[in-house]
Amino acid sequence: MDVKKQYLYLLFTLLILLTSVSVIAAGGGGGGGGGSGGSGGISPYSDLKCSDTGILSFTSGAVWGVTIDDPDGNEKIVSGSWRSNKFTSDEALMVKAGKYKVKDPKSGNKTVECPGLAFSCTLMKLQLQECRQLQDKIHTRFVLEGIGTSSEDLDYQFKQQDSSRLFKRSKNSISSDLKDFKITKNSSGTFVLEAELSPAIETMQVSHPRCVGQYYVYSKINCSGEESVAIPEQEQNGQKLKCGGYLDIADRVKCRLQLREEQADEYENFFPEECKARNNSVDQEQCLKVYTAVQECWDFPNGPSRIACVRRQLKLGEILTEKANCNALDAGKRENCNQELREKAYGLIKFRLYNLEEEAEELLEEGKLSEEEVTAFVVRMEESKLAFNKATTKEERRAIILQARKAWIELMKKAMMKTEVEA
Amino acid sequence: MKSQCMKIAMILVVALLLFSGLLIAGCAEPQEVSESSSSEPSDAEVLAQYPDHLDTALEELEMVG
Repeated sequence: MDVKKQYLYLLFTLLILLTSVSVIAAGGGGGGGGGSGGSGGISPYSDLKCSDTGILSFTSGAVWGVTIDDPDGNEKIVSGSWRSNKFTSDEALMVKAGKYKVKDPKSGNKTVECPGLAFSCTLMKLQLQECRQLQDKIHTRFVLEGIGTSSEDLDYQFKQQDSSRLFKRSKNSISSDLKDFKITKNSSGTFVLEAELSPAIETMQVSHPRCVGQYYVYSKINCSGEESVAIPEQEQNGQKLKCGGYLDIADRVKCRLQLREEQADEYENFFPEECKARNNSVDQEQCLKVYTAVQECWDFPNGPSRIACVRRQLKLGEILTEKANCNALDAGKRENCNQELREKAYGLIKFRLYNLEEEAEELLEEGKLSEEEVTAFVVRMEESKLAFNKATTKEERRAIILQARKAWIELMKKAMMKTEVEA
Repeated sequence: MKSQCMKIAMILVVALLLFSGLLIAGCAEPQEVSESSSSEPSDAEVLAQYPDHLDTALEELEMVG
Protein backbone atom coordinates (compact mmCIF):
# COMPACT_ATOMS: atom_id res chain seq x y z
CA MET A 1 0.00 0.00 0.00
CA ASP A 2 2.76 2.33 1.01
CA VAL A 3 4.68 1.69 -2.19
CA LYS A 4 1.57 2.17 -4.23
CA LYS A 5 0.97 5.50 -2.55
CA GLN A 6 4.52 6.57 -3.25
CA TYR A 7 4.16 5.47 -6.85
CA LEU A 8 0.95 7.41 -7.28
CA TYR A 9 2.50 10.49 -5.68
CA LEU A 10 5.44 10.26 -8.07
CA LEU A 11 3.12 9.94 -11.06
CA PHE A 12 1.09 12.95 -9.92
CA THR A 13 4.23 15.08 -9.54
CA LEU A 14 5.39 14.01 -12.97
CA LEU A 15 2.03 14.91 -14.49
CA ILE A 16 2.20 18.38 -13.00
CA LEU A 17 5.75 18.80 -14.29
CA LEU A 18 4.77 17.69 -17.79
CA THR A 19 1.76 19.99 -17.85
CA SER A 20 3.78 23.03 -16.77
CA VAL A 21 6.46 22.31 -19.39
CA SER A 22 3.76 22.05 -22.10
CA VAL A 23 2.16 25.31 -21.05
CA ILE A 24 5.51 27.14 -21.06
CA ALA A 25 6.38 25.71 -24.48
CA ALA A 26 3.00 26.58 -25.97
CA GLY A 27 3.23 30.11 -24.59
CA GLY A 28 6.50 30.68 -26.41
CA GLY A 29 5.14 29.73 -29.82
CA GLY A 30 1.76 31.39 -29.95
CA GLY A 31 2.16 34.48 -27.79
CA GLY A 32 1.83 36.84 -30.72
CA GLY A 33 -1.90 36.29 -31.03
CA GLY A 34 -2.88 37.36 -27.56
CA GLY A 35 -0.29 40.05 -27.05
CA SER A 36 -1.58 42.46 -29.64
CA GLY A 37 -4.84 43.24 -27.84
CA GLY A 38 -3.46 45.51 -25.16
CA SER A 39 -0.93 47.39 -27.28
CA GLY A 40 -3.57 48.34 -29.90
CA GLY A 41 -5.00 51.28 -27.90
CA ILE A 42 -3.22 54.59 -27.36
CA SER A 43 -2.77 55.59 -23.75
CA PRO A 44 -4.12 59.08 -22.91
CA TYR A 45 -1.82 61.94 -23.93
CA SER A 46 0.95 59.64 -25.21
CA ASP A 47 0.33 61.21 -28.66
CA LEU A 48 0.00 64.80 -27.40
CA LYS A 49 1.52 67.10 -30.02
CA CYS A 50 1.43 70.52 -31.55
CA SER A 51 2.28 71.09 -35.20
CA ASP A 52 3.73 74.03 -37.13
CA THR A 53 0.29 74.45 -38.72
CA GLY A 54 -1.00 75.47 -35.27
CA ILE A 55 -2.90 72.21 -34.67
CA LEU A 56 -3.08 70.66 -31.20
CA SER A 57 -3.95 66.95 -31.04
CA PHE A 58 -4.10 64.26 -28.38
CA THR A 59 -6.03 61.19 -27.26
CA SER A 60 -7.90 61.44 -24.00
CA GLY A 61 -9.88 59.01 -21.89
CA ALA A 62 -13.01 61.14 -22.23
CA VAL A 63 -14.48 63.85 -24.45
CA TRP A 64 -14.52 67.33 -22.90
CA GLY A 65 -14.48 71.04 -23.83
CA VAL A 66 -10.78 71.68 -24.43
CA THR A 67 -9.22 74.71 -22.76
CA ILE A 68 -5.56 75.70 -22.68
CA ASP A 69 -3.24 78.23 -21.12
CA ASP A 70 -1.09 79.84 -23.82
CA PRO A 71 2.63 80.73 -23.24
CA ASP A 72 1.52 84.11 -21.83
CA GLY A 73 -0.76 82.39 -19.30
CA ASN A 74 -4.02 83.39 -20.98
CA GLU A 75 -6.80 80.80 -20.84
CA LYS A 76 -8.39 79.95 -24.20
CA ILE A 77 -11.12 77.62 -25.43
CA VAL A 78 -9.81 75.48 -28.29
CA SER A 79 -12.21 74.64 -31.13
CA GLY A 80 -11.81 71.33 -32.90
CA SER A 81 -13.31 67.88 -33.31
CA TRP A 82 -13.31 64.58 -31.42
CA ARG A 83 -13.04 61.25 -33.20
CA SER A 84 -12.83 58.05 -31.11
CA ASN A 85 -11.49 59.96 -28.09
CA LYS A 86 -8.89 61.75 -30.23
CA PHE A 87 -9.08 65.51 -30.27
CA THR A 88 -7.78 67.52 -33.23
CA SER A 89 -8.00 71.29 -32.99
CA ASP A 90 -8.82 73.57 -35.88
CA GLU A 91 -5.85 74.85 -37.83
CA ALA A 92 -3.79 77.95 -37.01
CA LEU A 93 -4.79 78.18 -33.32
CA MET A 94 -1.40 77.65 -31.61
CA VAL A 95 0.24 80.67 -33.22
CA LYS A 96 2.95 81.61 -30.73
CA ALA A 97 5.90 79.30 -30.07
CA GLY A 98 6.26 78.10 -26.48
CA LYS A 99 4.78 75.94 -23.75
CA TYR A 100 1.01 75.43 -23.71
CA LYS A 101 -0.90 73.85 -20.82
CA VAL A 102 -3.80 71.52 -21.73
CA LYS A 103 -6.28 71.76 -18.86
CA ASP A 104 -7.88 68.36 -18.37
CA PRO A 105 -10.25 68.39 -15.36
CA LYS A 106 -10.09 64.58 -15.05
CA SER A 107 -6.50 63.53 -15.79
CA GLY A 108 -4.80 66.73 -14.69
CA ASN A 109 -2.95 69.36 -16.70
CA LYS A 110 -0.53 68.40 -19.46
CA THR A 111 2.15 70.55 -21.03
CA VAL A 112 3.07 70.62 -24.70
CA GLU A 113 5.71 72.57 -26.62
CA CYS A 114 4.42 74.29 -29.77
CA PRO A 115 6.86 75.28 -32.53
CA GLY A 116 4.79 78.32 -33.54
CA LEU A 117 2.77 78.84 -36.69
CA ALA A 118 4.89 78.33 -39.82
CA PHE A 119 2.26 77.32 -42.38
CA SER A 120 -1.51 77.52 -42.62
CA CYS A 121 -4.08 76.51 -45.21
CA THR A 122 -6.91 78.44 -43.60
CA LEU A 123 -4.94 81.69 -43.66
CA MET A 124 -3.77 81.21 -47.25
CA LYS A 125 -5.16 83.24 -50.13
CA LEU A 126 -4.82 81.66 -53.54
CA GLN A 127 -6.68 83.14 -56.47
CA LEU A 128 -6.21 82.94 -60.23
CA GLN A 129 -6.91 86.22 -61.96
CA GLU A 130 -6.16 85.57 -65.57
CA CYS A 131 -5.28 82.81 -68.05
CA ARG A 132 -4.51 83.38 -71.73
CA GLN A 133 -3.03 81.18 -74.41
CA LEU A 134 -1.64 82.89 -77.48
CA GLN A 135 0.41 81.12 -80.13
CA ASP A 136 1.40 78.20 -77.93
CA LYS A 137 2.25 80.53 -75.05
CA ILE A 138 0.46 80.42 -71.72
CA HIS A 139 0.24 83.56 -69.64
CA THR A 140 -1.45 83.51 -66.23
CA ARG A 141 -1.65 85.74 -63.21
CA PHE A 142 -2.50 84.79 -59.63
CA VAL A 143 -2.48 86.01 -56.04
CA LEU A 144 -0.72 84.04 -53.33
CA GLU A 145 -0.61 85.26 -49.76
CA GLY A 146 -0.12 83.60 -46.38
CA ILE A 147 2.34 82.31 -43.83
CA GLY A 148 5.02 80.00 -45.23
CA THR A 149 3.73 80.11 -48.79
CA SER A 150 5.89 79.97 -51.90
CA SER A 151 4.87 79.86 -55.56
CA GLU A 152 7.42 77.05 -55.98
CA ASP A 153 5.41 74.78 -53.66
CA LEU A 154 2.20 75.05 -55.68
CA ASP A 155 0.77 72.51 -58.13
CA TYR A 156 -0.11 73.91 -61.56
CA GLN A 157 -2.41 72.00 -63.91
CA PHE A 158 -3.65 72.72 -67.41
CA LYS A 159 -6.56 70.76 -68.88
CA GLN A 160 -6.55 70.21 -72.62
CA GLN A 161 -9.62 71.35 -74.54
CA ASP A 162 -12.23 68.59 -75.22
CA SER A 163 -10.07 66.05 -73.44
CA SER A 164 -9.40 64.88 -69.90
CA ARG A 165 -5.65 65.13 -70.47
CA LEU A 166 -3.78 67.21 -67.91
CA PHE A 167 -0.40 68.92 -68.16
CA LYS A 168 1.08 69.28 -64.69
CA ARG A 169 3.87 71.05 -62.92
CA SER A 170 4.65 70.39 -59.25
CA LYS A 171 7.70 71.07 -57.10
CA ASN A 172 9.37 67.84 -58.20
CA SER A 173 7.99 67.09 -61.66
CA ILE A 174 6.83 68.70 -64.89
CA SER A 175 5.04 67.42 -68.01
CA SER A 176 7.37 67.27 -71.01
CA ASP A 177 4.88 69.38 -73.04
CA LEU A 178 5.34 72.32 -70.66
CA LYS A 179 8.43 74.21 -71.72
CA ASP A 180 10.19 77.35 -70.46
CA PHE A 181 8.06 77.33 -67.31
CA LYS A 182 8.75 80.40 -65.20
CA ILE A 183 7.08 82.32 -62.40
CA THR A 184 7.87 85.90 -61.49
CA LYS A 185 6.48 88.27 -58.91
CA ASN A 186 5.46 91.67 -60.23
CA SER A 187 5.56 94.99 -58.41
CA SER A 188 1.90 94.78 -57.34
CA GLY A 189 2.61 91.56 -55.48
CA THR A 190 0.81 89.24 -57.89
CA PHE A 191 2.56 86.31 -59.57
CA VAL A 192 2.93 85.88 -63.32
CA LEU A 193 3.32 82.40 -64.81
CA GLU A 194 4.55 81.94 -68.35
CA ALA A 195 5.18 78.72 -70.25
CA GLU A 196 5.13 77.24 -73.73
CA LEU A 197 2.37 74.73 -74.35
CA SER A 198 1.12 73.64 -77.80
CA PRO A 199 -2.22 71.84 -77.14
CA ALA A 200 -5.21 74.17 -76.74
CA ILE A 201 -5.99 74.66 -73.05
CA GLU A 202 -9.50 74.90 -71.64
CA THR A 203 -8.97 75.33 -67.87
CA MET A 204 -6.12 76.00 -65.50
CA GLN A 205 -5.87 75.15 -61.83
CA VAL A 206 -3.47 76.13 -59.09
CA SER A 207 -3.49 74.36 -55.71
CA HIS A 208 -1.33 73.75 -52.66
CA PRO A 209 -0.50 70.04 -52.13
CA ARG A 210 -0.52 70.45 -48.33
CA CYS A 211 -4.04 71.86 -48.47
CA VAL A 212 -5.88 69.20 -50.50
CA GLY A 213 -8.80 68.19 -48.30
CA GLN A 214 -11.09 69.94 -45.90
CA TYR A 215 -9.62 73.43 -46.51
CA TYR A 216 -10.17 73.35 -50.29
CA VAL A 217 -7.36 75.79 -51.08
CA TYR A 218 -7.34 75.89 -54.87
CA SER A 219 -8.43 78.09 -57.71
CA LYS A 220 -9.58 77.34 -61.26
CA ILE A 221 -10.05 79.58 -64.26
CA ASN A 222 -11.03 79.15 -67.89
CA CYS A 223 -8.28 80.06 -70.31
CA SER A 224 -9.07 82.35 -73.22
CA GLY A 225 -7.35 82.31 -76.55
CA GLU A 226 -7.86 86.00 -77.19
CA GLU A 227 -5.99 89.10 -76.13
CA SER A 228 -8.83 90.14 -73.81
CA VAL A 229 -8.46 89.56 -70.11
CA ALA A 230 -10.74 86.84 -68.69
CA ILE A 231 -13.66 88.27 -66.74
CA PRO A 232 -13.31 87.80 -62.96
CA GLU A 233 -16.45 85.63 -62.75
CA GLN A 234 -14.62 82.88 -64.53
CA GLU A 235 -12.43 82.24 -61.53
CA GLN A 236 -13.81 79.40 -59.43
CA ASN A 237 -12.72 78.99 -55.88
CA GLY A 238 -12.10 75.70 -54.09
CA GLN A 239 -14.25 76.79 -51.14
CA LYS A 240 -17.24 76.69 -53.47
CA LEU A 241 -16.26 73.73 -55.62
CA LYS A 242 -15.00 71.52 -52.74
CA CYS A 243 -13.55 68.09 -53.53
CA GLY A 244 -15.53 67.58 -56.74
CA GLY A 245 -13.92 70.60 -58.44
CA TYR A 246 -10.30 69.44 -58.63
CA LEU A 247 -9.14 68.75 -62.19
CA ASP A 248 -7.20 65.62 -61.26
CA ILE A 249 -9.01 62.47 -60.06
CA ALA A 250 -6.14 61.77 -57.61
CA ASP A 251 -6.73 65.16 -55.93
CA ARG A 252 -10.49 64.56 -55.78
CA VAL A 253 -9.95 61.16 -54.13
CA LYS A 254 -7.27 62.46 -51.74
CA CYS A 255 -9.55 65.36 -50.83
CA ARG A 256 -12.51 63.06 -50.05
CA LEU A 257 -10.32 60.78 -47.93
CA GLN A 258 -9.40 63.69 -45.67
CA LEU A 259 -12.92 64.87 -45.02
CA ARG A 260 -14.82 64.56 -41.81
CA GLU A 261 -18.00 62.43 -42.09
CA GLU A 262 -20.40 65.36 -42.17
CA GLN A 263 -18.37 67.10 -44.90
CA ALA A 264 -18.28 63.95 -47.05
CA ASP A 265 -22.08 63.94 -47.32
CA GLU A 266 -22.16 67.40 -48.91
CA TYR A 267 -23.39 67.33 -52.49
CA GLU A 268 -20.19 68.79 -53.99
CA ASN A 269 -18.15 66.15 -52.22
CA PHE A 270 -20.50 63.26 -52.77
CA PHE A 271 -20.31 63.20 -56.53
CA PRO A 272 -19.08 59.77 -57.65
CA GLU A 273 -16.40 59.70 -60.32
CA GLU A 274 -18.46 57.26 -62.35
CA CYS A 275 -21.37 59.72 -62.48
CA LYS A 276 -19.06 62.66 -63.21
CA ALA A 277 -17.87 60.88 -66.35
CA ARG A 278 -21.41 60.44 -67.75
CA ASN A 279 -22.03 62.50 -70.86
CA ASN A 280 -25.47 63.96 -70.24
CA SER A 281 -27.43 65.15 -67.24
CA VAL A 282 -30.08 62.39 -67.53
CA ASP A 283 -27.39 59.71 -67.34
CA GLN A 284 -25.72 61.55 -64.47
CA GLU A 285 -29.01 61.77 -62.61
CA GLN A 286 -29.63 58.05 -63.06
CA CYS A 287 -26.11 57.23 -61.92
CA LEU A 288 -26.44 59.43 -58.81
CA LYS A 289 -29.77 57.78 -58.00
CA VAL A 290 -28.11 54.35 -57.91
CA TYR A 291 -25.22 55.59 -55.74
CA THR A 292 -27.58 57.34 -53.35
CA ALA A 293 -29.75 54.21 -53.10
CA VAL A 294 -26.86 51.92 -52.12
CA GLN A 295 -25.53 54.28 -49.42
CA GLU A 296 -27.75 52.68 -46.78
CA CYS A 297 -26.05 49.33 -47.53
CA TRP A 298 -22.86 50.56 -45.80
CA ASP A 299 -24.76 50.16 -42.52
CA PHE A 300 -24.68 46.39 -43.04
CA PRO A 301 -21.56 44.42 -42.16
CA ASN A 302 -19.26 43.60 -45.02
CA GLY A 303 -20.50 40.32 -46.52
CA PRO A 304 -23.73 38.65 -47.66
CA SER A 305 -26.09 41.04 -45.85
CA ARG A 306 -24.49 44.07 -47.52
CA ILE A 307 -24.65 42.43 -50.94
CA ALA A 308 -28.29 41.42 -50.29
CA CYS A 309 -29.03 45.10 -49.57
CA VAL A 310 -27.39 46.17 -52.85
CA ARG A 311 -29.37 43.54 -54.74
CA ARG A 312 -32.56 44.91 -53.20
CA GLN A 313 -31.65 48.48 -54.16
CA LEU A 314 -30.79 47.42 -57.71
CA LYS A 315 -33.93 45.25 -57.84
CA LEU A 316 -31.79 42.32 -58.83
CA GLY A 317 -32.94 38.81 -57.87
CA GLU A 318 -31.21 35.53 -58.70
CA ILE A 319 -29.50 36.16 -62.02
CA LEU A 320 -30.13 32.72 -63.53
CA THR A 321 -33.84 32.82 -62.62
CA GLU A 322 -34.20 36.32 -64.01
CA LYS A 323 -32.39 35.30 -67.16
CA ALA A 324 -34.74 32.32 -67.63
CA ASN A 325 -37.71 34.67 -67.15
CA CYS A 326 -36.32 37.06 -69.78
CA ASN A 327 -35.74 34.24 -72.26
CA ALA A 328 -39.33 33.06 -71.79
CA LEU A 329 -40.62 36.40 -73.11
CA ASP A 330 -41.58 37.22 -76.71
CA ALA A 331 -38.71 37.92 -79.06
CA GLY A 332 -39.49 41.66 -79.04
CA LYS A 333 -39.27 42.03 -75.26
CA ARG A 334 -36.54 39.47 -74.66
CA GLU A 335 -33.56 41.61 -75.63
CA ASN A 336 -34.75 44.59 -73.56
CA CYS A 337 -35.26 42.35 -70.54
CA ASN A 338 -31.80 40.79 -70.89
CA GLN A 339 -30.23 44.24 -71.35
CA GLU A 340 -31.85 45.49 -68.15
CA LEU A 341 -30.68 42.39 -66.31
CA ARG A 342 -27.12 42.94 -67.59
CA GLU A 343 -27.13 46.56 -66.40
CA LYS A 344 -28.27 45.53 -62.93
CA ALA A 345 -25.67 42.76 -62.72
CA TYR A 346 -22.97 45.18 -63.90
CA GLY A 347 -24.12 47.54 -61.14
CA LEU A 348 -23.58 44.79 -58.58
CA ILE A 349 -20.14 43.93 -59.99
CA LYS A 350 -19.11 47.60 -59.82
CA PHE A 351 -20.38 47.78 -56.26
CA ARG A 352 -17.97 44.97 -55.39
CA LEU A 353 -15.11 47.24 -56.60
CA TYR A 354 -16.60 50.15 -54.64
CA ASN A 355 -16.68 47.87 -51.59
CA LEU A 356 -12.94 47.21 -51.92
CA GLU A 357 -12.34 50.97 -51.84
CA GLU A 358 -14.24 51.18 -48.55
CA GLU A 359 -12.28 48.25 -47.12
CA ALA A 360 -9.02 49.95 -48.07
CA GLU A 361 -10.22 53.12 -46.33
CA GLU A 362 -10.89 51.12 -43.18
CA LEU A 363 -7.34 49.77 -43.28
CA LEU A 364 -6.14 53.36 -43.64
CA GLU A 365 -8.04 54.28 -40.48
CA GLU A 366 -6.47 51.30 -38.71
CA GLY A 367 -3.03 52.56 -39.75
CA LYS A 368 -2.28 49.49 -41.86
CA LEU A 369 -2.03 51.47 -45.10
CA SER A 370 -0.81 54.96 -45.94
CA GLU A 371 -2.93 57.69 -47.44
CA GLU A 372 -0.88 57.57 -50.67
CA GLU A 373 -1.41 53.81 -51.01
CA VAL A 374 -5.16 54.08 -50.47
CA THR A 375 -5.50 57.10 -52.77
CA ALA A 376 -3.70 55.25 -55.58
CA PHE A 377 -5.89 52.18 -55.06
CA VAL A 378 -9.16 54.14 -55.01
CA VAL A 379 -8.12 55.94 -58.21
CA ARG A 380 -7.44 52.54 -59.82
CA MET A 381 -10.84 51.20 -58.76
CA GLU A 382 -12.60 54.32 -60.05
CA GLU A 383 -10.76 54.00 -63.34
CA SER A 384 -11.70 50.30 -63.43
CA LYS A 385 -15.37 51.21 -63.09
CA LEU A 386 -15.08 53.74 -65.92
CA ALA A 387 -13.28 51.17 -68.09
CA PHE A 388 -15.96 48.61 -67.22
CA ASN A 389 -18.63 50.99 -68.51
CA LYS A 390 -16.70 51.57 -71.73
CA ALA A 391 -15.95 47.86 -72.33
CA THR A 392 -17.88 46.25 -75.16
CA THR A 393 -17.13 42.56 -74.67
CA LYS A 394 -17.31 40.05 -71.85
CA GLU A 395 -13.56 39.39 -72.22
CA GLU A 396 -12.76 43.08 -71.69
CA ARG A 397 -14.93 43.19 -68.57
CA ARG A 398 -13.35 40.01 -67.28
CA ALA A 399 -9.87 41.47 -67.79
CA ILE A 400 -10.88 44.59 -65.83
CA ILE A 401 -12.09 42.50 -62.88
CA LEU A 402 -8.87 40.47 -62.90
CA GLN A 403 -6.77 43.65 -62.98
CA ALA A 404 -8.76 44.96 -60.02
CA ARG A 405 -8.00 41.72 -58.17
CA LYS A 406 -4.30 42.17 -58.92
CA ALA A 407 -4.39 45.71 -57.52
CA TRP A 408 -6.21 44.47 -54.41
CA ILE A 409 -3.66 41.71 -53.80
CA GLU A 410 -0.76 44.17 -54.23
CA LEU A 411 -2.36 46.54 -51.74
CA MET A 412 -3.17 43.84 -49.20
CA LYS A 413 0.38 42.51 -49.40
CA LYS A 414 1.55 45.96 -48.30
CA ALA A 415 -0.90 45.89 -45.39
CA MET A 416 0.20 42.39 -44.37
CA MET A 417 3.91 43.20 -44.58
CA LYS A 418 3.39 46.36 -42.52
CA THR A 419 1.42 44.46 -39.87
CA GLU A 420 4.17 41.82 -39.73
CA VAL A 421 6.95 44.39 -39.32
CA GLU A 422 5.05 46.07 -36.48
CA ALA A 423 4.31 42.72 -34.73
CA MET B 1 10.85 -2.15 -2.66
CA LYS B 2 12.78 1.02 -2.31
CA SER B 3 15.08 0.16 -5.20
CA GLN B 4 12.02 -0.66 -7.36
CA CYS B 5 10.60 2.73 -6.57
CA MET B 6 13.90 4.37 -7.42
CA LYS B 7 13.96 2.51 -10.72
CA ILE B 8 10.50 3.74 -11.63
CA ALA B 9 11.45 7.26 -10.60
CA MET B 10 14.58 7.13 -12.74
CA ILE B 11 12.62 5.88 -15.76
CA LEU B 12 10.09 8.64 -15.29
CA VAL B 13 12.80 11.30 -14.94
CA VAL B 14 14.45 10.07 -18.15
CA ALA B 15 11.05 10.12 -19.87
CA LEU B 16 10.51 13.65 -18.64
CA LEU B 17 13.90 14.73 -19.92
CA LEU B 18 13.21 13.15 -23.30
CA PHE B 19 9.79 14.77 -23.46
CA SER B 20 11.26 18.19 -22.61
CA GLY B 21 13.94 17.69 -25.25
CA LEU B 22 11.30 16.91 -27.83
CA LEU B 23 9.30 19.98 -26.83
CA ILE B 24 12.34 22.23 -27.08
CA ALA B 25 13.14 20.79 -30.50
CA GLY B 26 9.50 21.38 -31.48
CA CYS B 27 9.73 24.99 -30.34
CA ALA B 28 12.53 25.67 -32.79
CA GLU B 29 10.29 24.87 -35.75
CA PRO B 30 7.79 27.72 -35.48
CA GLN B 31 10.75 30.13 -35.64
CA GLU B 32 11.52 28.78 -39.09
CA VAL B 33 7.86 29.24 -40.05
CA SER B 34 7.85 32.83 -38.84
CA GLU B 35 11.06 33.45 -40.76
CA SER B 36 9.51 32.25 -44.01
CA SER B 37 6.29 34.20 -43.30
CA SER B 38 8.27 37.45 -43.11
CA SER B 39 8.80 37.13 -46.88
CA GLU B 40 6.03 38.24 -49.25
CA PRO B 41 2.79 36.27 -48.77
CA SER B 42 1.39 34.35 -51.74
CA ASP B 43 -1.71 35.59 -53.61
CA ALA B 44 -3.72 32.73 -52.11
CA GLU B 45 -2.63 33.68 -48.58
CA VAL B 46 -3.59 37.31 -49.21
CA LEU B 47 -7.03 36.38 -50.53
CA ALA B 48 -7.59 34.00 -47.63
CA GLN B 49 -7.00 36.83 -45.16
CA TYR B 50 -8.52 39.65 -47.21
CA PRO B 51 -11.06 38.14 -49.64
CA ASP B 52 -12.01 40.37 -52.58
CA HIS B 53 -15.16 38.42 -53.56
CA LEU B 54 -14.30 39.02 -57.20
CA ASP B 55 -14.74 35.31 -57.96
CA THR B 56 -18.44 35.93 -57.46
CA ALA B 57 -18.20 39.00 -59.70
CA LEU B 58 -16.66 36.84 -62.44
CA GLU B 59 -19.45 34.28 -62.02
CA GLU B 60 -22.06 37.04 -62.23
CA LEU B 61 -20.41 38.34 -65.38
CA GLU B 62 -20.40 34.84 -66.83
CA MET B 63 -24.13 34.49 -66.15
CA VAL B 64 -25.17 37.68 -67.93
CA GLY B 65 -22.49 37.69 -70.62
